[in-house]
Amino acid sequence: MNLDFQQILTQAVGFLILLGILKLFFWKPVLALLDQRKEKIASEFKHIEDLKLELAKLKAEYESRLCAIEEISRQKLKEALDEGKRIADEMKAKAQEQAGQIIESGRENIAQELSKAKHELKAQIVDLALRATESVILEKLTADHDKKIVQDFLEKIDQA
Amino acid sequence: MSGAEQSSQELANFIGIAVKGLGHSNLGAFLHRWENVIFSLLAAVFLIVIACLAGRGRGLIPERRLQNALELLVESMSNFVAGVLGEKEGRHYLPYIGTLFLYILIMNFMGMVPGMKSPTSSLNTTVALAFCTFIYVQYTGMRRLGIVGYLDHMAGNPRVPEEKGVFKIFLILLFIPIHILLFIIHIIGEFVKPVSLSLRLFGNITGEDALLYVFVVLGLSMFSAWKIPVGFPLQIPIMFLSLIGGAVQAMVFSLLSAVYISMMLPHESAEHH
Repeated sequence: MNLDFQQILTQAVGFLILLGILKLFFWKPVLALLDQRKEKIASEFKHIEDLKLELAKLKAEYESRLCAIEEISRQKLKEALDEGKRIADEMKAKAQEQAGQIIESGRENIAQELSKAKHELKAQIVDLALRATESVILEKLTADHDKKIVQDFLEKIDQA
Repeated sequence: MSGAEQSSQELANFIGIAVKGLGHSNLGAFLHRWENVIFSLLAAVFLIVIACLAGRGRGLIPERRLQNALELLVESMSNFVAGVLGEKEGRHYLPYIGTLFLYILIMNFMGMVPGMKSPTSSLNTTVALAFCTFIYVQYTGMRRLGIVGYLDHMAGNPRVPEEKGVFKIFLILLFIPIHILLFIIHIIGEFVKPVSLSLRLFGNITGEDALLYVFVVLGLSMFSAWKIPVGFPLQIPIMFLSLIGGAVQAMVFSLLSAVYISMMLPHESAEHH
């Protein structure tokens, strides 16, 4: 085995040049790129974690707000129901009162009309009786004539 | 080992064929001598071209297969080196270990390409790479430990014993020759490392190439009786073996380089990972 020192030196220098070139144009850029990607991925993961935390916070806040809103709406609904019930009761009472008043006034009207009708009837009966008496007095009464007078009276009544 | 010595054990390559055509001319002699260097240069150019192609239009979202593949490779290499040297140190030494791995891998595989040759089947190439690792490891040791720390490391970290009185003097006198011996052993060990690195790679790749050559010749000889110029491709299983062997040898060389570097790093950083 003959060692050629010139060749050894040339090979060594060649390797060192290759090392320099690859270090400059391959290893450093690729490692920098990998580091950059690693940092980017780490930062993205951190961002995602932060977003998750924020989301959880927002969700909790939203749920608490939702609970509060539900409570308020329930309360409002209850108040509205109570108010509605109160108004309905008031309306019912008012309607009953009005109905009572209407019935009372109707009754009074009927009584007045009845009394008025009675008075009118009395006056007509008196009037009729007076007329009938006048007829009796003015004409001599026979059985047939009486009968006729009564019939005429009845016809007059019917006509009246 | 010269190209002429290896040519009888390796498949023909285009430079060897050109050398035969050129005969004993100056150009023929030049090509014959620098054959392995030329193939190493081709491997280096191939790597540079791939690196440049991968570098074009590189984005945070990989859209090309080449970028995907190279990023996967870099990630794998990064994990591999970090496994030996730790995350921080591994990152620092990745370009050296990674380049060494890719360069050796490509050179190992070149032997399977028709008309090409594995430059790592030459001892000159493997010695050069092992020499680079040796220098880099010693430089790392001196830079990270300091000259005194480096010599202290080589001498096995000698410390003054805590004992007192005569026993302390006895221990110091006992430890001085031990640490001198350790220093010598360490120095020898440091020099043996590149030798073992280079011989292992050279031996394995030379063996694989020789095996390929033998099987190609055997395949050719199967139909030689009928004068058919094409032989039976008996070398195909050996090519798969060479693929595995080439990858493993590149891995072993880079792994051992990483281990040698880690042995030179300060203990705190070694303990850290």
